[in-house]
Amino acid sequence: MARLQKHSPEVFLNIPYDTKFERLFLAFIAGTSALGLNPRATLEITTSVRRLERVLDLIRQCEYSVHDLSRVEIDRAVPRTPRFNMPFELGLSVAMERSGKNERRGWFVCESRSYRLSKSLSDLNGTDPFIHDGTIEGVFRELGNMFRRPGKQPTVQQMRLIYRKLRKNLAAILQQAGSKTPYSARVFRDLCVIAIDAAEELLL
Amino acid sequence: MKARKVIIRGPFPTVKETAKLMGVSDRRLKELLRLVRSNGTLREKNGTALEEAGRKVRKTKDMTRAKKRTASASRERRARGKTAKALS
Repeated sequence: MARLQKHSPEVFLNIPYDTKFERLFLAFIAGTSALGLNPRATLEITTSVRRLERVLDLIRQCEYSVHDLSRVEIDRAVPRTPRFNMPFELGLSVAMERSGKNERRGWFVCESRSYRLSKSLSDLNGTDPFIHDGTIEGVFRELGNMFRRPGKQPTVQQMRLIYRKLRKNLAAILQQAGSKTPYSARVFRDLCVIAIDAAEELLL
Repeated sequence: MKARKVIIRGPFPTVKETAKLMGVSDRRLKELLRLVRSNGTLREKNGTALEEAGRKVRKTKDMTRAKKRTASASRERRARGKTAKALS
């Protein structure tokens, strides 16, 4: 994939891929696009190259990363385990930022409940997570607390409009991709393109 | 410690650039844009959404003012009552 000379900022979205999180998944795409960021996710990784290498490459490419740890819970499938991917990728991001060898400028942690992070990941004590309460508005609010554009800021209402656009077109995109879930490479790419187009129309 | 707000400096992504970055072909991009445009423009909806938000704020403000008015009116009545009692 050819990189542009002076490229627009990218944000690595480290979020859970489950049906309960679908609304917030769209909210993260809508909110980051409104703030002038290109959303990226491990969903894009489809090649047979070792997954970890690709994850590292993706994190390295992105200036910022947002890690949602609200779904680090034990799942229903046997054997019952929590998903460790998200905390693991957060660790990779922190390490990469600390190494200072690339363009990485910041990482942010999101949670849906206050004080839970201090119990589940006490190594991050002293770093306040952004609590989105598990709501779409909460995601928009917290993204607005993390990032700001120079000049006029996108309002939550504008982010909501982009979200609605994604929601409205999701069925058609899923149908075209022959997918039942938005957590696939093709659907994610299409959603990002639509979100950036809507942000461009609204905010530029 | 709450992380400081990050100021994003451009260039801001354009739809063509994003499509290129994501590996979306020109043909697919055209299809997507056609699909999106068929639902009407966001600019009109943006105006309505902002107006709606403004209306909600005004309504809340009006309610607060009304509350204040009621509070002061009742205080006035009470005061009048006391004065009336004192006079009698």
